[in-house]
Amino acid sequence: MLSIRFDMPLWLMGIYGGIMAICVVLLRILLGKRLPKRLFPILWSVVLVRLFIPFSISSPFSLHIPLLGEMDGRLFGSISILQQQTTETYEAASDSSIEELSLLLNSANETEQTYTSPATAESAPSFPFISISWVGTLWAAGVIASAVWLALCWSKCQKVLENSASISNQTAEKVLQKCRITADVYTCDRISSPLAVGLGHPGIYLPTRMDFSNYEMLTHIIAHEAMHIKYRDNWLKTVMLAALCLHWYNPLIWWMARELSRDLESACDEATLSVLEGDNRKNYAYSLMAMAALECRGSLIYSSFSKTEVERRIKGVMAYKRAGKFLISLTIMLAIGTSAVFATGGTTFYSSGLCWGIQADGCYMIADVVLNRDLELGEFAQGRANSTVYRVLAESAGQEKGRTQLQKEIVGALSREFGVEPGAFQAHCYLSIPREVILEQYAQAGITIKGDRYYYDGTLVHSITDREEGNASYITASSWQDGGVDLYILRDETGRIKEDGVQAYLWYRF
Amino acid sequence: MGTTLYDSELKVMEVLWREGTLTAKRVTEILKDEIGWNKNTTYTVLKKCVEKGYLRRDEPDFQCTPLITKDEACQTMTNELIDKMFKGSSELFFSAFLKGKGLDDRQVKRLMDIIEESK
Repeated sequence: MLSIRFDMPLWLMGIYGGIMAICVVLLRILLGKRLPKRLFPILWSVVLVRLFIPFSISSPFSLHIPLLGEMDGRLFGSISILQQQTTETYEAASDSSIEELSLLLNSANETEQTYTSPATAESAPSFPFISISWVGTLWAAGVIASAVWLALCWSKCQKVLENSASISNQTAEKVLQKCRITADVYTCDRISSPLAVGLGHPGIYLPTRMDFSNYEMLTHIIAHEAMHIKYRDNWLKTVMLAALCLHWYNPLIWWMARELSRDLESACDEATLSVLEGDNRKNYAYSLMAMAALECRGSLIYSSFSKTEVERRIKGVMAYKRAGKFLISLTIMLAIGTSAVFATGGTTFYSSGLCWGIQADGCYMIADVVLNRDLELGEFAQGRANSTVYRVLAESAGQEKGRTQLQKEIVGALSREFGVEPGAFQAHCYLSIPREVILEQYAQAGITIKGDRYYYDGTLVHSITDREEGNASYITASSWQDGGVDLYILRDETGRIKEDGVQAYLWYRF
Repeated sequence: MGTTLYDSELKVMEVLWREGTLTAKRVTEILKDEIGWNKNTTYTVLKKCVEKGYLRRDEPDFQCTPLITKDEACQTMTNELIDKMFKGSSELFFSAFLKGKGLDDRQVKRLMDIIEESK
């Protein structure tokens, strides 16, 4: 049922990642107040996996994004046929070739459009011809530029933190012990908000100017930074920055970086409140305000205690409630469910054509089958599919089954043959009635043919259109200069001419 | 005395302004207690303060005497530095806070309302 591949193009990963980011933020807007805030950093890490690993898992629940039609195997197939034909035309008739060529191109386009939506048919051929080389060069240049920029930011931060003094503060040590974190604590003159810095041996940097005699605030700050260290938020941020380098051209990813760093702060506020004993919401909120007063400055690189959105965080803090077991298990389920949807929701391009123009004697239907999703159907998939469809058609010979019925049977047979859910296949049947059968049907309806002209009740026919009701493609459609009657023939979906299906109108030439 | 005080220097000076003349050893003890600095850190900062002329060091025992008063320091320092000076109680903090550049009066008032009104 599952099919996995590792060939998703980076830009498509970026698009899916962006869509996921929007989903995460929507989830936060809808349920953020009720759910534990740690859920969101977890979901962000899932999005980051998407941004880095080119996997593509197709499951029965995968979303079918129309964009996937672009790289359709059929389309490429018809293009190559087209090329073959044009070369043949060149060889055959070089003098009148241009007119014929354009005619041929037009007809080829038309046939494509009947099977794919007009939008994909138009955009698809241009896609493979985009020159990859300069796009790739531009992208690589962007990656290098972003990496250099981040490295400069990083070295600037290192310089700022160089002149820090290590401290052994009893309050701080007590809090760290309680959080079961080992970290060095420093004071630094040149920062205005507390930071947790470093990946391997993280340190907590406090602005020297803060009020060390306010033990409560110090406790809050240290606990908050300890939570950043405990949950490895700096790792997450580093991975996020690497994703920014790779997807530098994608504004959704930049937006995601901002949302992620906000959610990390909220999650750590929550974790801090859960570590502290009693109801500390009010005092903690005042600590947040106090730190914001030192200076509001956000930094994308390091986890910092106070950011521009003090208000948002204070609101979040005041709304905090200790989560019960029910809510926690609900959240875990939500995290797993969302991750599963994220993992299998978007797939990469796949070749969707499976069978093409299958026909069996005695059955007046031609069948095409396409895949609805990326599937590994095993060896000789095409041959097996062809013979399965052929069998269904052959068994239906002479039974006058409707199109809907036949399509259902084909899909069912394929589903059994390959052991995949029926939704994975899509069958299209259309009428294809042999000439002699048509003439027989016409004769029964009172239409006779002499030479190449039709007669209805002995009157010469001026024009004839014969089609299935509700379907635009004609079985017969012709008109002539002379004649006295216009014929309109309608058939049902089994291909039989309907009762009262033949309508004749007198035609006068003015 | 146009130069601004660094935050660490300010911490040292605050001790001296509060306690009057102290030995360097005593200053290290106080700051060890308050912030958690080790004595080398404090000595380094004291030395900086002497170099910059904020305090005088006398024998015996390196008696440290502030050469500038808190008021003088305030006058020469920028508004931003006044914000650094607040100490202790939350009232004092909020008065210093109102001059802060991060949040203005109205924002502070609103935040306090949010905090006080939530259950």
